[in-house]
Amino acid sequence: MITECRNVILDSIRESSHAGLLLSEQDILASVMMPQAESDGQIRESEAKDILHEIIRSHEDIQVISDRMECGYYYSTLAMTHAYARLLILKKENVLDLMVSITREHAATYARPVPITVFQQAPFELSEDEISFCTDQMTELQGYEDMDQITTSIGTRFLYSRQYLDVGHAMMLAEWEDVGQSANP
Amino acid sequence: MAKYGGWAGKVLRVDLSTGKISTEDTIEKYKDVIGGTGIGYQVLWDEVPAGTKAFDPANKIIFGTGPLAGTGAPCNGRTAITTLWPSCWPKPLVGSGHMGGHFAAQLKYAGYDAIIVEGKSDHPVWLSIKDAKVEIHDARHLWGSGIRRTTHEINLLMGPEASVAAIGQAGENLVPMSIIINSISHAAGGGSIMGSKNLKAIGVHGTGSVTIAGKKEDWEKAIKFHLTLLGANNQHVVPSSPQPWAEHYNPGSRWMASKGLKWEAAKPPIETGACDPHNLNRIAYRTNNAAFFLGNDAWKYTVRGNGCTACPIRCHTLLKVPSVSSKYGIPEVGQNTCVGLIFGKTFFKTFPDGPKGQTSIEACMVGMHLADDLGIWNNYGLLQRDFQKLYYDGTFKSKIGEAEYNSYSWDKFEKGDPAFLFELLPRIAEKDGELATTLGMGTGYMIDRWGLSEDNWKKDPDLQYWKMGHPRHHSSEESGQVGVIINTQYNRDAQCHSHTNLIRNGLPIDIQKRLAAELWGSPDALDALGAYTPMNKYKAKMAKWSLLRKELHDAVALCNWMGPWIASPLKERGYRGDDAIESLLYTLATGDKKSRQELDHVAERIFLLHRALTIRDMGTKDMRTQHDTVPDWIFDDASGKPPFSVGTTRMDKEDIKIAMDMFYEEMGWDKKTGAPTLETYRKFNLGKVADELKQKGLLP
Repeated sequence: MITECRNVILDSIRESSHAGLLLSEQDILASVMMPQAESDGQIRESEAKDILHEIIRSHEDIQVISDRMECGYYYSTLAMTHAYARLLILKKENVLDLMVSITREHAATYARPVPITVFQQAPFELSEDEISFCTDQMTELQGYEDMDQITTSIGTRFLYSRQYLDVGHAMMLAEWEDVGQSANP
Repeated sequence: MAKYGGWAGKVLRVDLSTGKISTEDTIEKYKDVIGGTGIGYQVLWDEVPAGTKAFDPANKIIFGTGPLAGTGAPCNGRTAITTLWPSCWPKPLVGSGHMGGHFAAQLKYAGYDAIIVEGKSDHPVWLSIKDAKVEIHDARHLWGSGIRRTTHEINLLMGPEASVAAIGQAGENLVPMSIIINSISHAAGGGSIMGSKNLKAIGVHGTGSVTIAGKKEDWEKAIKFHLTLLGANNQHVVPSSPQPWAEHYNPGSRWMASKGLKWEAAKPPIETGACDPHNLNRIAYRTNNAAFFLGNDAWKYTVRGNGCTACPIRCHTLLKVPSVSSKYGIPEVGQNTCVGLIFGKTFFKTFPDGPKGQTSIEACMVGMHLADDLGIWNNYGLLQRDFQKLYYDGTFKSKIGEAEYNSYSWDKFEKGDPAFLFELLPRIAEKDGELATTLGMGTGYMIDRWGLSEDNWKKDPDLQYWKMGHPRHHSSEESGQVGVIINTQYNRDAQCHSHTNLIRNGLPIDIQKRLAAELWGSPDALDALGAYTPMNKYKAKMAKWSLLRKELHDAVALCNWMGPWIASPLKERGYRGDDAIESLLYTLATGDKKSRQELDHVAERIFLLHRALTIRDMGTKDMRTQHDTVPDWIFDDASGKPPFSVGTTRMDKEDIKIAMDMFYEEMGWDKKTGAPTLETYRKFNLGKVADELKQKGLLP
C-alpha cells in the first residue's frame, strides 16, 4: 500500500509539472488520503507526510518550493525548472511583486527591459487593469523606486529596473527589441 | 580515384550560346573547395576574366549545392548562386545569393553538385534536368510570365516533384534588383543574370539518391544529435515566453511556441504547445516568423510553417488572410520569411490601424504576392528605406517629370494603403518610368543616375547603408567591432549569421560569454548589446570564425541562417552546442575524414578565393581603403554618448582601425593594404592564384 501511495504521489507531481502546475502539499495529501480512506482507511496523514518526505529524499527530480506562508509546493525538475516554479509562486502570491521581480531579473541577468504586454500573456495572464494597478503602485509605494517605464518609437511600453540599467541603455535595448530586430532580420 | 559519398559526383555545364551540355567530375575539379560558393568562386576565378560586366555573356552563374544537400542532415536545403553581382556598385564584383527550398536536393538526386550556366541564348529558353536527360527548351511562351505561372507550366511538363527555379519580369528586363525563386518563396538574388542569358527557368527532377559513406547507425546517431542541438529560427535557443521546462526566456526570441498559441487557420487549429527541446518531434512548432515579424494577430492567419528539404525549423510561415482576396484580388494564402515576409509593409511609414494592425498584415500579403511573382529583390530592406527617404525628402518630385510623379497615388502611400504596391512594384519589374527604373538599379547606381551623394547614405543611421550600394547585415548595432569587420568583407550585404545567431540566442550574457571563451579564448570576445568594449584579439578571432563558418556552410550546403550550432537549448549541456557538428556530418557523409580545424582550413581557402577575386576585379590591392570601408553613421550617436559608454552602439574610429589591424593579422593578410600575402595564399594551396595576382601587381 505504501508503494502504491508513493507511486500515486510521484505520478501526480510529475504529471502536474508537465502541465505547468505546482502541487501543494495539501493537495497531495488529499489525493492519497481520500481514496485510501474509502477503501481501507489505513493511510493516515502522518504516514502520507512521511511518504512525501521520503520521496523528496530519494528522488532527485522532486523539489519543493515554499510560499511566504511556508506552505510547500512540489514539482518535478524533469518537466519544470525552479525558475518557472518560482514564477508560479509569485503569481499566486502577489502580482505586483511578480512584475517587479521579473523586471529586475531581466535587467540583471539578461540586460534587457521587459515589454509590458508580456504580462498579459501566458503564464502571467494579467488583465490590463491588473497591470495598470501594478504600474501605478510601483510609482506610489516605497521599495519600487528603481522601477521605471519607457516607450518605444512605435508606442510599446517597457518596464525596467534603474538598479541594473540606465535609462539610455534601457531605451536603446527596448527600441532594438521592438523595432530594430525585425528591421534587421 | 577515391570513391566518396555525399557528392553526386558531377557538375553540369550548360553553354547557352552553343547549346552544348557537358559534365565534369566534381571530385577531380572541385573537391578542394567542396561545393556551393567554393565552386562558384573557383569558376569565376578560372573562367571569367577581370573586367567582365554582369550582363556580358562572358559572365557565368553557378548554382552550387554541397555534399550535405539532399541528405538527412538538418537544414541542408541550400543552393548558393554565385556570379558577378549586378547591384554591386560602382562595378559588379563577385557575389553570392542563397536560396533554400528543394532545388538543391532535386539537383543532387538528378546526379549533379552544381550547374555552371554560361553564354547567352539568342531566344528565351528554360533548362530541363531529369536525371541524365538535360535539355534546353524554348521559353518564348513563358517570357513575360510571372514566377508562379512559369513554375506551374514547367511542373505540368516535368511533374509536381520537380523543383523550378525561375525569374519573373524583373529578371527578364535586366532589373538588377531581381531574384530567382524556387519552391514558391525561396529566393536568391541574381535574377537579372539569368535574364541576361535569356534563361527563364531551370526545372530539375532527380530520381537518384545521395550515398552516405559512413555506417548507417553512425549517420543516424549524428543526425539525431544534431537535432538535439537545434533551437528555433536563427538558432534562438530559449522560448519567447516562460515555459515549464525553460530556465530562461526572451520576449525577443523567435521560439514562439507556447501552450494556448495556435496555428488558427489550420483545420482544425493546431496548438504549438510547450515544445520541450527534448521532444524532437515538436521542433517544427517552435518557430512562427509571421507572429514574430507581424505581431500576435498573425497567429489567427497561420496555417503552418513551411521550409526547406530536411529542415525542421520551418521558417517560411504559411498564412491565409481571407480579406486580401476580396480587397486586392490576390490569393488569400502566401508564405515567406524575414525580409520577404515584410517586403510589402516596410514601404510604408504608417498604417491607419498601427504598425502591427490588420492593414500591415495585408500589406505583407500584397508585397509577397507581387514581389515573389515579379521577382523583385529588396536588398535586405534598403529598397524600402530608400523609397521612404526619397519620397519624404522631395527627391522623387525633383528627379522625375510631373506627369510621371502624378501618375502615382501618393495619398495612398501616405495613408498606408497596400493598394499602392500595385502601382509601384509592377513598374519596377517592367522598368516603367524614371522612378521605377532607377529604384530597380539598386542604391549605388541610383545615386549615380540622379547625381546624389553617397555621403548622405553613409551618414544616415536610419538607412542602414554600408557600402558599394548595399546595407549592413548584422553589424555594429548588435555585435560591435565583430559586426563591423564582417560587413567590410563582401561586395553586397554580408549575409553572415554565425555571430548574430549567438548574440541573439536569448541566453544570459554570462552563458554567452562562457561559450565565447570556450571557442575564442576569452569571454571578452563578446560584449552585451549596447555595452561595447574596446577591440581585442578575441573579437578578431570571433570575426574570422564567423566568416569562415559562413563560407563552410555555403560550401557544404548547410544553412547559415540556422547555424552554426555552438549553443543549444539543453541545460544539461550547459547550453553548449557543438562546434564540430559540421565536421561530423561532412566526414560521415563523404568519407573524407576532416576535423573541425581541417574543414575551417578549407573554408579559409574558399574565403581567400573570394578575396582574390575581389582584388583582381577591382584592380587594386589596397583593400583597406578601397574596399573594407565603413559608413560614417557607425561613429555617431544622436544622444551624444561617447563610444564604449553603456547604451550606445557608437564605434570609435581609432578602435576600428585597430580592429582591422587585428583581423588582418589573424587572417595572415598585410595590415597596410588588407591584401592576403604570398605566404598566406601558398599556405592554402592557392599559389597559382598568388602568381596571377603578382603578375598584375596585386600582391602586397
